[in-house]
Amino acid sequence: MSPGQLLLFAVGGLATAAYLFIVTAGLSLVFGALRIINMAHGSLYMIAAFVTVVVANRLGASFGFWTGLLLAVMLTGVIGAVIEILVLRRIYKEEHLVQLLGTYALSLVAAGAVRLFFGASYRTVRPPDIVSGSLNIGGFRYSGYAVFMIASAVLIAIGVYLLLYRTALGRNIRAAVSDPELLNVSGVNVSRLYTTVFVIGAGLAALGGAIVAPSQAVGASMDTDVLVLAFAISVIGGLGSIVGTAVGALIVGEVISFGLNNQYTNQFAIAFVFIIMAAVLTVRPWGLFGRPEQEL
Amino acid sequence: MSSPDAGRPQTSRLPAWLRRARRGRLRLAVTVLLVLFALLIPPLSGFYEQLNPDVSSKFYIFLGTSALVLALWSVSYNLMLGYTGMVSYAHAAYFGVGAYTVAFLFKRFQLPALEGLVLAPVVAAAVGLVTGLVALRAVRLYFSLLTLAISQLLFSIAFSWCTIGCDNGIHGIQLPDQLSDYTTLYYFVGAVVGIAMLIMFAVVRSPFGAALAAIRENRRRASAIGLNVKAYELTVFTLASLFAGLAGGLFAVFQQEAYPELLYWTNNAQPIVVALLGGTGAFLGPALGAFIYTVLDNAISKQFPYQFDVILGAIVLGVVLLVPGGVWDAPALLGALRARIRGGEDEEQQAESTGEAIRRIDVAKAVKAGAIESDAVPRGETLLRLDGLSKAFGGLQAVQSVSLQVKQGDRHAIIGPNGAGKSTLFDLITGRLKPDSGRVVFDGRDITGKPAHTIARSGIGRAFQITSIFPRLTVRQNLQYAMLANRGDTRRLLGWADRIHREDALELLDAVGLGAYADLPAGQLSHGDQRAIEIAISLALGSKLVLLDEPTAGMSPYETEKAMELVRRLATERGLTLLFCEHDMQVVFGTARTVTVMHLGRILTEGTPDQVRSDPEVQKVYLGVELEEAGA
Amino acid sequence: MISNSTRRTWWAGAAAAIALVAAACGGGSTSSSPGSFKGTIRIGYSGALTGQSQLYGHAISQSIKLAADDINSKGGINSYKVETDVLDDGTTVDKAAANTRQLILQDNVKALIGSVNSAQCQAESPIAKQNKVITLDATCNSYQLTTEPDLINPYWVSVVPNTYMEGTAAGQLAAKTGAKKIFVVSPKYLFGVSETNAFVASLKKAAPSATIVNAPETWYVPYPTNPRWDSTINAIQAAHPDLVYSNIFAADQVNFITQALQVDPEFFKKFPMTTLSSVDELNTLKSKYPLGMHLYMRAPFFALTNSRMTDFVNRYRAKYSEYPSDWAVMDYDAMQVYAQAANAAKSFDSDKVRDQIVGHSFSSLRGYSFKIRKEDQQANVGETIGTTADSGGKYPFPTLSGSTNLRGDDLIMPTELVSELKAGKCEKNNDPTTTDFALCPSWKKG
Repeated sequence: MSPGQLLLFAVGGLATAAYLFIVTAGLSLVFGALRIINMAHGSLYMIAAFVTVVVANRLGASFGFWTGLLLAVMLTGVIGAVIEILVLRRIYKEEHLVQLLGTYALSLVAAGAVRLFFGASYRTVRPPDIVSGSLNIGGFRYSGYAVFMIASAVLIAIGVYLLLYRTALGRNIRAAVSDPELLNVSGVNVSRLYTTVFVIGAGLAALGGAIVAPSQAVGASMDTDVLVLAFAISVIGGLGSIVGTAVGALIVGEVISFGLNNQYTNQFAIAFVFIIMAAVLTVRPWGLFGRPEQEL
Repeated sequence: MSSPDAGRPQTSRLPAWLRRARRGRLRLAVTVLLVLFALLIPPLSGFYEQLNPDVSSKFYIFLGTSALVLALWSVSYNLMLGYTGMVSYAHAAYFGVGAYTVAFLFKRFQLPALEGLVLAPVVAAAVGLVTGLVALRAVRLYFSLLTLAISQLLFSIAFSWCTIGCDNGIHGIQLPDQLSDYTTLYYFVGAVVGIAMLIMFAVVRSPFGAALAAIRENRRRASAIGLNVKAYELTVFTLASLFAGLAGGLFAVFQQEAYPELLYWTNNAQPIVVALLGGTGAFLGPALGAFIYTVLDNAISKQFPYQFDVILGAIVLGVVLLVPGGVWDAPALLGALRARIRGGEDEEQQAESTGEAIRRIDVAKAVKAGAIESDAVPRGETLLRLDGLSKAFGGLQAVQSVSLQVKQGDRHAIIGPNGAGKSTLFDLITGRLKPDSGRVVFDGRDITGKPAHTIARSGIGRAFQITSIFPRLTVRQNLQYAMLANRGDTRRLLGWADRIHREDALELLDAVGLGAYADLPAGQLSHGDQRAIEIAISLALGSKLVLLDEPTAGMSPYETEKAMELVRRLATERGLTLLFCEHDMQVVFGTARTVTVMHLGRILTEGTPDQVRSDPEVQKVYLGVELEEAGA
Repeated sequence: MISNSTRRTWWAGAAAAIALVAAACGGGSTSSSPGSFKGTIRIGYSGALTGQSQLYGHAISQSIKLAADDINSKGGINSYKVETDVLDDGTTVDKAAANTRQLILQDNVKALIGSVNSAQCQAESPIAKQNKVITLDATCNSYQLTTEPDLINPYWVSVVPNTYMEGTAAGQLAAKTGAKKIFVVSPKYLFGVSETNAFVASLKKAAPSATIVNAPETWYVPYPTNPRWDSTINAIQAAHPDLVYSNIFAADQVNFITQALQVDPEFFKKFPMTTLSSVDELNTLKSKYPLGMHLYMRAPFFALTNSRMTDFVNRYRAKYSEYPSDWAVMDYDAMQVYAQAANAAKSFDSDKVRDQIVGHSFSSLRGYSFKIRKEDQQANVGETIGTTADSGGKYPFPTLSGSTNLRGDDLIMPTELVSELKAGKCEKNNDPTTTDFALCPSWKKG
């Protein structure tokens, strides 16, 4: 592999990683703070993608995309709040399987609702002009939109990092991640905190859906397509750790990018992700950047 | 769900035993009906065909067969979920392994399907054991997600490994002629499922099953009564894989094929939904769920093919929110409904404990009933020795080169302001934490860094600062299971746990004033009574050394006096050695014969109560803080 | 806490009541039949209404309903009214098998319409065979379904160009471009492997000097496919082929094209592409579908113009406000095949109907008649090839310019090959269930 090709595949891996990170960031946050495996995360992501596509195609060109993005984030945030208040709040105390089933049921209902509203066909939308160009480096072309996604991923990472480490809210969220019991006795309004976290998670899912929309077919099964890899990434990185999620996405993205093109690893490129996941958890059962769980 | 509400009068009109009997009868009736229904499916289907000649009886018999297999699969899942509290996303993978075993051996080696069926559980259990070893490196959520990784890995292997048919799977498995008839096949599958269920039922009722229940209820407490939590989890994981493999094998037999999708992680939704629908709290709950699910699945997909997911989603959501106990718990729900309509109180409302158990403790009886063992070490000799024990969390030095000796038969208190490192020190002794350096020697043996359950088994009992019991087990079971664990019975897969050491447990319960609540779930008792349970568990364990972390927190002065009298007499009459930390100075100086003062992770001084009391440094450090706290 | 538990109780009661009412209402809606018919018969379809393949399954469920209406307006089949019985398999094998049993044994369907994916069809075929129910398959098309000894099913009729035929068409199409360096992209399961093998074999004959630049192991994208195609797109850039051959479809194809165009708006000018496609992909990407792509398609309505087709398209659009996809066209034909044959047999008996199918010719929406030969019960249906070009405002998506409707007879598998495959005389290609016809004796001979 020449240096030019190396760069090409590395950036390709970055693009895949950016896509995965954008989708996973909210999942991991909710995961860490609320201890909920949110199976409906994919649904929120899908709904946002549909909203973005519909709005962008209606309003046209660049303006439509950004409006769609904004609307999608707001709408999905509201849906997130409703879900948290009406459903999740009643089942936090149950075993996590009950929570999983609750969110799984929500994802089924959401998939049906999306089909009802938007039909079975796929939707597509052009990216806004400002990010639709492409670059030429060393004889190879690089997607402008992929660069935009990578930049968005970096911005989201920084944003979530700042939120977690520079704000009072972030301090509480981190407390929820590391010691939920302590949080209960510390006088924080836990249920409002949880709603807030879930809404932020939903907003991040929506941001993911909106950003991904111009690069993919938006269809009623995109919710489950991404879920397993998203789980894998958040676990490799450590639940609730934004740095970990970024590193996890990077690993998975690069493994897929390089793995698919090697004749020996092609078939197992996806399996490798799970091998890595199992390997990481075997050595560090709490993920690369997570905190150890109290065993007993 | 319902919070214990101390001091509430008993509200129900029926005596407890009658209510229990009625509920028991109802459950028995459901069980009998379920079994009868399962047995009668073929004739009923035949009858239905007579009424509706268009519909083949074969269909319902076939549906019944798949419900049976689903029942086996889900009940085996519930061994982990309902009985041990483990959530695995790899159960479909072991089901798939079982199916592939039958299919592959048939296709490749022309091994008859029924012989493959014998091997299916063995292969699945082997895969379960190996992958379980990996999965159980992690706990809780991470464990679940690790099983997800394993599941996807096994799926990838099945999908890409062409020796077993890669993406196509294996089709066209043939059955022996005797089984080609739908009805015969149904009864054959029914017999296999029935036998497997009986075995599983025996296991959950066995002492081994008692250990699982203890782990489900409270891992920390389970470990502190001497259970090797991971070993039990691995065993039940393997066992569940074994039965999942059997279910998968049966699937290959009656569906005559195996394909990679069987292993895909989303396929776990089936046993999970089924178990939850039927109820995870009862052995046959998931089996009931399997039949209901099969009927629902057939009806919805027929009536609403375009909205299948929405309706399934709505039903699951309804169950999750409205009847988390599943359909099996519906009688309770109906009872509540009926009571509501009659305008009376909810019949299911349990009698509330009054929180007066400790007041009623019969100290003399309790001292005798406790399983405390004799003085292995002569009085006055060192029973526990700590050598330069240190532990840091990040930058914080929680315990710093602590050396300490606890003498046999002593009542040894550790005091110190908050953050002095007392609880950490206890964690280091009992194995919940591993020291960074230093040694712990107990009864002449080095137990440094040994796992918590080993240390518990070697004779160190512990009561936690925050009450730690098995909330959904009955009060009696709390003690009984502690005895089972401590006496090494829980490795037995046979026997009826509830019948073993029952008398001992009841005797001890009477002694500590809990006799009236023997059959109530421990979690329903008031806080004070739960504290009494914990003391009783410590007695049941027969430990040589008991560590008490603030034993009298939350007790009234009278209760405190009572509890400490018990403790003192246990020490003097039965040779029990005590190490406790306590904030109540009266308790400390009234009970302890040796007092160690800790401050900021170090030992400040040690001596008799009088020596410590008059130590100026202690007064300065310890009492200063106390005053500060009081002033704040 | 009491109030909480009683509220729960009330909710549960209400939910139970609603469920009962719903069940009662749903129960009685299927048994009406007008007086002019002797009764009602059902034709079953278990397909993907949800999940990965829902786009295709959805179109099929719509078109077979239209077909049933048309059949009924002409007197039904043997004077019985036709009803379609549609079940959703969620794009899973498990459900596909269960549905097939339900359709046959519970709903007593007289015939089945084949499912979307090969995996589902592989699970359905043995059940249909066991119960002697005719299956008209117009979507899943791996030739193994009709030639593999384990899968052969005398009641399975294929009215879709199979992977052999499509691969052959694709090979010829690729050869015509004169490309010397070809890059292959395909999904890693039976359909993709089967069609790619056929493509490669056909290419070797049609253009012996052409080479495939990527290693065979990297032709295939592992399942489930990732929505990002960076890796494949970059591999194409690095390999610099004259032509990309693909049989990825649906969301995969849309994602691949979308992302490739974002890498380089001229991507498909630099790396021309020969690919399987359908109206669905064109209609999804609309004007974003690149022009100049070499497509092979099963039944694009716009290239198969004839009066029946025009009428069908108009009525389909009027009813569903969509353009009919290739699957809609082919499955409509499949329904008509059954109606015609059962009418000719004057019976619903599968053996009698089969006798009226095998060896017989049927007119189709595609503007030609096709015949179902007896060797593999495969119809000699054609494949349409052409290059995408602007439709001049006629449709919201590009259509084919210079399209050619290849004749089925020129594509269909030689009967010698069929008999060798059926007799198990061909070597296995590293995979016991995917026989490669290129390893059969007669093919190897040349």
